[in-house]
Formats: sequence, structure tokens, C-alpha cells
Amino acid sequence: MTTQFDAEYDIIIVGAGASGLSAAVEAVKNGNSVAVLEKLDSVGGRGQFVEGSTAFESDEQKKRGIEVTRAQGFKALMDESQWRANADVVSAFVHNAAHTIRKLSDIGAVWEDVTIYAYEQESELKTMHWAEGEGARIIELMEKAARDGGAEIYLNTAAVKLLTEGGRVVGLEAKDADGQVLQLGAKAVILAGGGYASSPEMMEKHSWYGKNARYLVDLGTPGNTGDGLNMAVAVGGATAETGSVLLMPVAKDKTITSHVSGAGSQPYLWVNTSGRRFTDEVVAMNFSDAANVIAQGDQGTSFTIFDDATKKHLETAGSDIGLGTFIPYHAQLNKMDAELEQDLVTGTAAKADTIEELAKAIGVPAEALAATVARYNELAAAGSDDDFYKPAKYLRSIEQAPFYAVRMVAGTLVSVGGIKVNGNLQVIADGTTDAIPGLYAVGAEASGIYGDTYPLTVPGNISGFSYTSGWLAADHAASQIAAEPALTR
Amino acid sequence: MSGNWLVVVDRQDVGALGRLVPRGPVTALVVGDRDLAESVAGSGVDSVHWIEPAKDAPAEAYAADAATVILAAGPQLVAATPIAPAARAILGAVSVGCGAALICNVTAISGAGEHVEVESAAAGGAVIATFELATPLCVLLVPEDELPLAGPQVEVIPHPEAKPALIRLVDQQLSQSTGLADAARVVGVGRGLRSRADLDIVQELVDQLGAEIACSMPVSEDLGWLPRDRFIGRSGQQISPRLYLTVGLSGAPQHLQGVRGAKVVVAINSDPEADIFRAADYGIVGDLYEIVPALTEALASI
Amino acid sequence: MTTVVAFNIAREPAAAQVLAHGGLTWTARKLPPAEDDHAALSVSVALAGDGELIGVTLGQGDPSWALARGASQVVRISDVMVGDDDAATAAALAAAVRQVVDANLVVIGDSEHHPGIAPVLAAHLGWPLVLGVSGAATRGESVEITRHRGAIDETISIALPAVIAVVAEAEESQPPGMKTMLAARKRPVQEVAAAALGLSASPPLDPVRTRLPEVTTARLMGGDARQAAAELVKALRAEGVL
Repeated sequence: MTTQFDAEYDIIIVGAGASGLSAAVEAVKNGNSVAVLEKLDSVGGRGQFVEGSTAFESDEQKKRGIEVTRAQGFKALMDESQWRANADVVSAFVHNAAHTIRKLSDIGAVWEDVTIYAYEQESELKTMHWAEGEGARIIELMEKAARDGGAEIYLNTAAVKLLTEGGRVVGLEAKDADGQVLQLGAKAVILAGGGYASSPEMMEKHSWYGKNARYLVDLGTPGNTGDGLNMAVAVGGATAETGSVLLMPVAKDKTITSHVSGAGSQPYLWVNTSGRRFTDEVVAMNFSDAANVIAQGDQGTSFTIFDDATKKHLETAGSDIGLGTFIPYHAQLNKMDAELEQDLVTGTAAKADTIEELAKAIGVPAEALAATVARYNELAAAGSDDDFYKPAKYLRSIEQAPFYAVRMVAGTLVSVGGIKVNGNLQVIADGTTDAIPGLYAVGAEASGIYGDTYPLTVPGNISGFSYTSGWLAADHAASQIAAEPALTR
Repeated sequence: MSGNWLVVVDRQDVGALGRLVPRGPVTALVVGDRDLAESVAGSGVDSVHWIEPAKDAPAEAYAADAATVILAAGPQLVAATPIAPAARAILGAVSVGCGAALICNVTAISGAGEHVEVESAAAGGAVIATFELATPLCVLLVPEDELPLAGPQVEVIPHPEAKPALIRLVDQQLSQSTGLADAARVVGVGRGLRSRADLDIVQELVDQLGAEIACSMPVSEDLGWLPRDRFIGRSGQQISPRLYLTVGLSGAPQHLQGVRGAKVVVAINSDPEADIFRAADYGIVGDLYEIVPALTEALASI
Repeated sequence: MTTVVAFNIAREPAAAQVLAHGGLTWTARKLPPAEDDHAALSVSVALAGDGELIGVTLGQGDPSWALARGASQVVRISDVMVGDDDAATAAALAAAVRQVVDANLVVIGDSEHHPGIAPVLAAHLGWPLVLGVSGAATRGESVEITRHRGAIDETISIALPAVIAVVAEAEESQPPGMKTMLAARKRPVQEVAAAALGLSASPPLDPVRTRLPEVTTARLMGGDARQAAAELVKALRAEGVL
């Protein structure tokens, strides 16, 4: 044994987000010695922004009389991925998600309700388990349970590369808060770094948005630079289905709580940089799909056009869509004027007395926009969208000056997928069907649940998969550690 | 002289008298000026022993000699509040002098004579813990904001023999603002404010409190009414002030995450269902445009 | 002359587990550091200067925590556990401090959850005490401290030997790196038994029972704006936050 380790653990977890902390809680429960290395100066990562978790046949669903079977969950995920998902991984997830809900309840999580995410999506399964205090509270509970159980959590500490010996992972090299390099021994390493959404280069290389990825606005924490993917590949790990990213529409330079952004997110008239309508805007009801549509467009942007009557409608009757807890269905968007004071100056929004002036303000061809609006008003008058088949209730005419345009972009929440794993969350060696001994990938780092896009039909699925895959990997690692004869050093 | 004592260093300490009443008459040990001693003497205690500190000697310099006065009486129960540091220092000296246990965050005391049952707010107030203890006993009481009704004016017994330890007050100044991160008092504004100009009303409260101003994410990020380094929340500043007073702020989880370390949270909001009331220690349901000016005025008169 | 820092001896809410019906348990392992511990460490390092800094802790304390932050040695009374009687905790600490040769300054975190420990500790040692300290510097045979009391900043001079209780104003800004922490774990610790110090081996004080408090929501002030404001001001004064 040539490497001198600064310390040795049973399990080292890279990343203290939703999947990493879940793994840590389970690992200490299993009696393993655990270190969690977190690159940023606080735990939680993008797990702090989720609102709940998905499950099938959970205690919480049963007590509310909600029936969503594992079979339905399996089918939905496989279908949504166009069967590009890995059935072993989907099966492991779907089978165990209900246990995740109970494990989190055991450490203090309170589930306020189980519903769908949007308010009017018949295709959505009732799997969204809303957590009291949201994902941030779950992170808090997991961190406490992990620490109480003896897990060591090191902040500002980055894993740099995996160490292998004879084809198995034996530890990793890390850099600590003071910049000191450490060699750490481990019987198992769990990669839980949350994917690559913080890296524009990797987004361009791996996500299906390709060159358009440069127009996406990252809404998450900065640590998700694909470290797990890079480290796994460096030791021969395989990648698979890396392209799927969870996006959300947002007005340029605004947050998702903004009322101007809420207005721009409505299923009203959307035009592209050519001033032309390009989709059935009912897609607004599914924020993931809506953002996919916006992301594909020229410069990854679109404009939502509405008139003063519709603006007043939004201020009084409220939002025509629901965006989780951010913009509740029917929330009155009455802060638009206050926000517009700035937004009209920064270019996030435009306001004009004629359509021609509006076109000029947003930089689209005036004739094209005029024609688009005229056509749209025809469809509204007829009560039928013969171009894109939008439900008539969202065909609001654009006739009453002043006219408004909100510039929308696609914001990135998290990439989902990268490292190829089997049903035990073990990393597969490239070109083989074998696992690399001692190496796991979980949560957003791991492929197997998604095809090329994120399905809202099973709401809460990435957070559910993160928590579930984390503890499943910890359990498998524990069983492997227990089964091995003690290695002599 | 009874076996029950209350240490008084701050005027507010007398509020705790009510918790000792079940035990019988209470003697006060006052360290402070004559006005304090006289006001304590009329608050319902049985008698007052008084130490007047020298001009540049902080009250805690008298801890040892103050304890001596109390110990001479063979006390059974000695209480203080944590409002002023000196009271704690005195209590510690009493505890050692008579071998008494010292329990903190006490909310209720019952039982006569040698056996005392004490309730305290444990784990930061998450539970009420009950202890069974023997006298002599020292307790640090949770302060009460209501002062007791006046009682007969009793004798004040001075102790000029008390001498201070070598602790000297060198300087005293009004706190200078050091920024949001270290501020002891912070006022947070939310979207309940109708316009940017209305920040002026809040600023008057901020100035009266000697506080820093902060806000929820939409106020800085969506409305641009305050700079980005003023927003508290999951992706903003995280602070641990002693007082976090919110105005027109709903209290979304992402915001509350930024003030988890706050000692006392106050909510002023017109919506009684707002989430902030679940996270707050104190609240006023009403129109901030009336309450904020009233609060500014109330603070000016103390 | 030697500076002593007492650390990791406060049971704070972060270490508590409240069970469904009001039951309370404390973490079975080492206590997490108290909120003020890091401030006490950095003040003690500054005051120790070129002199020695010895850490002192009790059974659930983690010696390496202080060793990684500047203590050259740590004394741990391994069989005395922290309970709810601050006098008992402080008595054990005082016994440990008396073991340290030439100690003339004790620094300790002024925990708002255990406000009685520092006062009892100082009284056992017979040394003057200053509480609520935010900053400190040596001035010859004295220490000059600064503290905030409400809206007032005080500067106080205290002659040595003395006990200084420190409050943290923020979270620890730069915890030691992993390498330093791991190295600290390998350093020796002076473990002492209670009996050797003449301390009784009685178990720590725990409550006979616990229950959930009646009111868990905000206390609302009633009346018109003026009345409500006046009531609020009174309450905040009692809380000591004004």
C-alpha cells in the first residue's frame, strides 16, 4: 500500500446537497464512518430550492386517499423518456420513493399535502409531496441527522480526483478550505455534486440546447460544475443521456417572484425575435416544457405581448397559471407598475401606445409584429386558435393601449443526468456492463431516469430521485463494505 | 428576613417578582443608583439591601460583596434575570457561597420550604422542562415585561462597606452602525410597502431603533427599492441579529432561512394568516402605515 | 502566565432533539460547538499572545476542535457530562482550570442558553468577571474589553487574574481546513477523571419531565396602533433587545 492517507473513512460523499446529505444520513445509520466534502461554504446546493418530493404508494398518499401505484410511476417515467431511461434505475427509484418519505418523516419532516404541481394538468400524477419549510427544511433536518449520527461535514473542501488501485476506487484527493491538499482513503465514494448546470462549457457540450445553452440563465448555486462527471470519466466511468436539464421561464434579469416575470409567464401571445408567434402558449402551464420552447428560440428568448386590459386582469383577477409557491394560481400581480419603473429602463419590459412603437422598443420587425397581433386578434374574436390550438380562454385580445412586452428567457434549475449507473447507483465502466468497485453516483449526477427532457408529469421527481438514490447508494455501499474481508495496509 | 431574594440591577428586573410570590416575602438586593433602590422599595418587596456603585465601577465589580450580603442571611432561593450582566455575576457568587444549583430560563417556581419544583424553557424554548431541586437554589428567571403594581415603600438598607473588584468602566458610547452583517437590530421590509417613497416611514423607525434596514428578495431583486446586499434570504444575506422586526413582509421560507439566528422576531402585517406570524415571537396585525409611526414614537419616549 | 479557554461545554438547541409529545433528548455523541465557542477561541488566542493557551472541556467535548484553533493542549474531564445545572458544570471547569499551572486568565463563551456557567466559574476561582464581551486586548497587567449593551458600547478594563465571557457577533468566518482538523485529532489530550480532581461523580442534572409549551405562535399585541406599539416596546425591553 503506497498511499499515505490523511484519514480513512468507510464512505466519502462528494457534495452536501439533497442526494449527498441523504446518503450521509443513511450511511451513519448503517454504522459507517462518513465524511462529506462540500465545495461551497454552506450545505444544501440546489436542494434548497425544491418544494417537495415525489413518491408512489406512500403513507402520506394513502392517508389522503390518493392512489398512484408504483406501476403508474414506472410507466410514466419510462414513457416520458421515450424509453431512453434505464429501467433498472427507474424501478429502484419507483420502488423505494415511498420509503424516502417515511425516512424523512422520521427525522422530522412534515408533509403538508400531496397534490399535482400545476392546478389544472390532467396528465400530472398526484405525487408532489409538499414539504413544510420546503427543500431547505429537508436539508436542515438531514444535516442535523447526519451530524448527530457522526458524519463529518467539511465545507469549502473540494474533491479533486478519484484514487484507484487495480480498477477499484480507494479514495480521493481533496483540497481543503486553506488550499491544502489531502489524500483520503475510502471503501466507497459517492458522487453527489449535482450535475453541471453551473458550467457554461459543459452546458454547451452536454445539454441538448447546444450552442443555445449560452442564453440560459443559471438560477442555482454555483458549485454544480460537473465535478462528479469529470472525476468519474477520468477513472473510466461511462456517461449516458447527459442532455436533460430542468429549466423554468423567467423575465430577463428578474427573479421568479417578480410580478413582471409572472405576467410574462402567462399563456398569452408569445412572439420570437422575428415578431412571429411560434407555439401554443398553453405550454405555460408546464414550466419545464415552456422553458424548453423558449430556450430553443433565436437567442433563447421570447416576448410576451399583452394590452392594458389584460394587465388589469392580472392585477385584479390574478395569474391564470400556478407556479408552485412562487406565483400561486390567481395571485394578484399588482406590483407590475412598481417594477416597471426599472424594467422599462433595463429592457426587461417595454410599453408603448402602438404596436409599431412596441416592436421598435423590443427590436422586432414592426410589420411582422403588427401582422402577428392582427392574426391573434382574429383568432381571439373567433374564439378558436386554428394556428396552434390553444384553449380559447387564453386567447385574450390585444386592443387596448398601452401595450406591453415582457422579455422572457429560460432559467436553469439543475441538469439531470450524466454518469451511467446501474440499479444500485454504482458507476458503470465505459464499454462494459460492469460496475467500478467502490464508486457510486446519485441525484442529478446520475443518468437513468430521464431521456432528453424533464417530465413534470411526475412532479417532484428530481428531488425524490436525489433523496432516494442517495440512501440507496449508501445501503449498497454498506453491504459491500460488510461483505469484504478487511484490507491490510 | 425571608429566605427569598431577588437581585436587581436593571429597573426591568422587578418584573420577575411575580414568579417568586408563591414562595413568600422577597428581599431585594439592589446594585445601582438611589432612584433604582427607591423604586424597588415600592414594588412589593419585603426589604431592600442596596449597594451604590462608584462612578466608574460597573455593577458587576460588586459581585463578590453583593453575594456576601445575601449569603449572610442564609438564603433559600436567590433569583435574578439575565437582563444585566451584573445580576448574573452576583448570582454565580451566591451559588458558590452556599453550594446551590443554578438553573436558567426559569418560568415558574413552586413548592414551599426545602423542596422546589422549577419549570424552565429548555432547548431554546422548544420544551418546558421540570426539575425537582432542594434549597438553597439559584435561578435565572425569564424576564417579564409587566412591572408589578406599587406596594408599600419599605426600608432601604445601604451597604457602604461593599468594595468593587478591579473592574473599571473606561468609556461608554452610542453604538456606531457597522453594517447589516453585525447589526444587533434589523428592520426588514417586504412587499406590503406600497411604494419606494414609503421607505422613508420605515427609515424613521430604523433610525429610532439604531438599526439597519433590510428587505425580502422581491423588494431588492424585483422592485429595486433597496440594493442587492440588503436582501435577506436563502440566496441573500444571512444574519443573526438580536432583534429582527419585519414590516409588511409575508415570511416565505426562503426569506426566513436568512434570519434563523435571530433572537427575537417581530411581525407587523395586515394579514393575520401571513406565514411570518408562525415564525415570530411577537406580532401586531394591522396597517403598517399606522403602526410603524406609532412604534417610532413609542421608542422615542423611552 | 497561561490563558485557559473553556469550550464545548454548553448544551445548545442545535444538539437537542424534541420528540413528538414534548420529550427531549440530547445528541449522544460529542456536543456540537456552542455558538460562542469560536469567538471565545479567537479572543483567547489574541489574549494569550506569546503565552500558552490551554483548552479545557468536559466529557462530551471534542478536544481536537480547540487544538485545531490555536490551543496548544487540552484538558478534558472525561467522566463529567454537561447537564442543566450550570453550577455543576462550572464547578468541574473550575477544578480543571486549577490543574493548569500559572493560569491567570480564563476565556469562555457566554452562552445565552447557559448564562450561569461563567459567573459560577469565576466565583469558584475567586476572580473578577466581565460578561457579554465582543472584543478584548491586553493592556499590561489588565485586559481591556468592549461589549454592547443595547445601543451602548462599553469599554471596560479588568485586572488579571480574571474571567472573560465572550459572545459571538456572527458565525465563524473561517473555520480551520480539513487537513488542520484531521491533524488536530492526532494530538494527545490530557484526560482526567472527576475523582482525581475531588469532584463527585454524580450524574448531570436532567429534568424529571418535559412537555411542549402551550403557545407556539407569536404573541400578538392588541388595541389600537399606539397601545400595541407601547406593549411591544415593553416586551422588547424585557427581552433585552432594545
